[in-house]
Amino acid sequence: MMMDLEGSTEKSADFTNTDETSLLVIIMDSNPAQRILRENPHVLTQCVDSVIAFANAHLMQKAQNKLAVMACHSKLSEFIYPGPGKQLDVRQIDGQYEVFTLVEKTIKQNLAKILTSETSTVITESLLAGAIAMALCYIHRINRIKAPGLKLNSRILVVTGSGDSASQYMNYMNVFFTAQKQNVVIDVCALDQHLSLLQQGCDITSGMYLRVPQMQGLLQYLLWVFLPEPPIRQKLVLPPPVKVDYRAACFCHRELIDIGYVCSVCLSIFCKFSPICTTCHTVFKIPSLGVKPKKKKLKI
Amino acid sequence: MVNVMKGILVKCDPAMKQFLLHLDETIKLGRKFIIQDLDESHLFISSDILDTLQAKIDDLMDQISFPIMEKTIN
Amino acid sequence: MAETAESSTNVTLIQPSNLECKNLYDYLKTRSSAVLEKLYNHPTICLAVYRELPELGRQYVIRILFVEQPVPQAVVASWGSQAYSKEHVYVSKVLTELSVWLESPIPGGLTGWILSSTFKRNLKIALLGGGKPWSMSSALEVDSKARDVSFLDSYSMERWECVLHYMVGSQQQEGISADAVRILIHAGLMKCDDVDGSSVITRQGFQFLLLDRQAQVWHFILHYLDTVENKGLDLAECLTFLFQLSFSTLGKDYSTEGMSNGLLVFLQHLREFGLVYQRKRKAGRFYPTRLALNITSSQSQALLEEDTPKGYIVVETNYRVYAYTDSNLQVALLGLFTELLYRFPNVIVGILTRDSIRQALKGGITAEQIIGYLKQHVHPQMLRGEAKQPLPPTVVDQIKLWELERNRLTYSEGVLYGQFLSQNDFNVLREFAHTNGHLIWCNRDKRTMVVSKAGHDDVKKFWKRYSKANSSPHNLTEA
Repeated sequence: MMMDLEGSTEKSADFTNTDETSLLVIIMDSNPAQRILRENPHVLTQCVDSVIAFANAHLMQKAQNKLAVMACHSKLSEFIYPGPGKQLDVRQIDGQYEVFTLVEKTIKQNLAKILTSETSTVITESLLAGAIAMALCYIHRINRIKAPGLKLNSRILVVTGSGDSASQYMNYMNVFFTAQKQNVVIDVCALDQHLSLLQQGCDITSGMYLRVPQMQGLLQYLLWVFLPEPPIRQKLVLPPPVKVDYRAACFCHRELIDIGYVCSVCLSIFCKFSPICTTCHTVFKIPSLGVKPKKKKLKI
Repeated sequence: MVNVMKGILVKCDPAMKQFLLHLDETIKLGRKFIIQDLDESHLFISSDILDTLQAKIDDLMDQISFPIMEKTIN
Repeated sequence: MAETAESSTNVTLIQPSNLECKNLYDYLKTRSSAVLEKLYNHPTICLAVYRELPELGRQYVIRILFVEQPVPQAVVASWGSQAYSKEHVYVSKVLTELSVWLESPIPGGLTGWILSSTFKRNLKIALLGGGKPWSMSSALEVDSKARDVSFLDSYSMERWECVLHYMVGSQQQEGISADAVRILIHAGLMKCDDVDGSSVITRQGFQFLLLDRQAQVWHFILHYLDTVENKGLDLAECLTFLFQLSFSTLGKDYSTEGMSNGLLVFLQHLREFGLVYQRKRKAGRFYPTRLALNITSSQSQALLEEDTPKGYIVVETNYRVYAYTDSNLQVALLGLFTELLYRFPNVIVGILTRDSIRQALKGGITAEQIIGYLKQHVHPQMLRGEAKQPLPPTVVDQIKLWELERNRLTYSEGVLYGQFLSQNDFNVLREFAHTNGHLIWCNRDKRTMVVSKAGHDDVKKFWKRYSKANSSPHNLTEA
């Protein structure tokens, strides 16, 4: 007797779709202090349009796909889709699918609100780590209220033109490892400079990192590289992972360093020797000539 | 000269085939029903015996299986 | 020979005619490319077709959506990784069959793929906007008696269960229209009893009952669509409307303004089956229900817990089945393959036994369908555990084994050709039967072969012609 109990079901489902729901949280950096925006504010419009088209393309993949979009600013991060409060009542104005129209309208409206409420002219960096943390909380909440037995693939896409800065190093590392633990993939699309810290995040959570060579083709880059969900990425030829710069930032000056001092108790990193660890307040002896300094080589 | 016969092609494992041959030889179904023994996993049988045969095989299966559990706990 | 009496049982043994469930792809594949082209004029259909494509296919389409020239086939092939080249071939086949992309020569002697221009234009409209609004989106005044989602859910449930109740012949429900009965009969789910003219459920009907709600609706609607043209409705129009409906938002009202008479008739039919809700026939507005939403998606489980219908079945490893239900329909369905032990006001207890499963198998229900039914209605408690499978694996395997034990013999009706005079004759006939797909078994050494019953006439004719041409005394003796 044939004992092939699995065969019959497997065969039919061979090439067909996986029955999984995919949740995508897009974090859009809307900080006016970004270099590309300071030089040409119209880039933001183009960027928003591309992100909306990309978001809708994600919703188009499967009926059950879910989407959330966040705007990340210098002082706050906020969900702009699904927006706070009641859903807009949208009627079709052209041949676009109603749901897509709703996405577009909501995002534009809420983003405009944020941008107009921005008054300060002080240039500060975007709170990307905070935004990612909020996205993780959102994903966690959805996971808790989802129907039992349902598989949900969640990922976060960060679209930013901000520069690399180590001042949020600790926060970054915390969200990256949390994401890894929660099986959330972090994708990063850098619009301006190379972002070595966020690239580490992609590497840790096995997401994609891409620095867009030219802004005109943003939508195409998004669709090509970031639209495929993690499970089908292996079936496509995508940009190969490059060597990731894993330098850590020191806790005292937030600078990336190759070699530094590590607290033997809490593993905090310092670029210069300090007698008291600022993180856990452990007191160290001042290294004298006779005692070997507490110097450890870090990974390069 | 070509001989043409209508019937049913039966595909089965060799053990089942032996059982069918046995049924045929001992005339358990009231008569012979195998038209031709084709190879070790194929037989050609007459089509009107099918229901009787299936019932016989169901009987056999019933005999070689036993209930996994007590049906009801009274 | 008592052919007539026996043939009905014979047929089930020889070719179990199982319920054939077509998805959108199977349905569209069988349409001509001209029909497809016409259908692709509507953004809704493009959207529905796009969602039905295999995963990789969707990526291909989106990659060339904004490309105006044909893309060389070799380039498209290089997008997929080597290990999945088979899948690439399959995807290319699907896209071609549905006329989503077409082959197109590229200067320089290469062939390339280009998206069908109609499909491309309308998919872009659906995604990015432009074009005309869909027919049902005229502005409406606010409904003074707006219906909420839970009302629509219970309404659609009630309407649909009416159809199912009718099928199992339970009397307590109100009847369904003659149209609906005709569709059920047309779909082979029910048949007219010869004796008193009443309709009775068929084997396929039972299998239909075991499908999940979404699949039931889709299957039913497909057969309904087969009949629309006889009713004088336009198939493309109905199909477009159906998809518009499936992309609408639950709990919102839509206008009937500007709809043709044919569509209004169609709407009334959908209303009967519970796909839309209308307070009055002439209300001027209607609410789509959950049954109509995402009608094509084979897997429709909603993300949030509150949106999914509650499961009610608990299966234990000791083969006991507890079903928390008071619905006679659900009890009757469970009774198809379980031995019912006790019945309480809110729960029934049954047991899966070899006999009860065999009874169901004899009735033409497959193990897969039984397992599918249990899985689909499994109690949420069964899904919460650490185990990946909602049902105990031992029970699942045992049901499959019980099915396999019945299938140790496979029968195929055929005709045996033997005692060929020469090897050449045998080869000629074998070749003929083989190329026409009639050959089911042959043996060169014994010069014996079996052709299918359906092919017998063809083969016989061929043989007569062949032997006449060779003017040899090849007679055909039929036993």
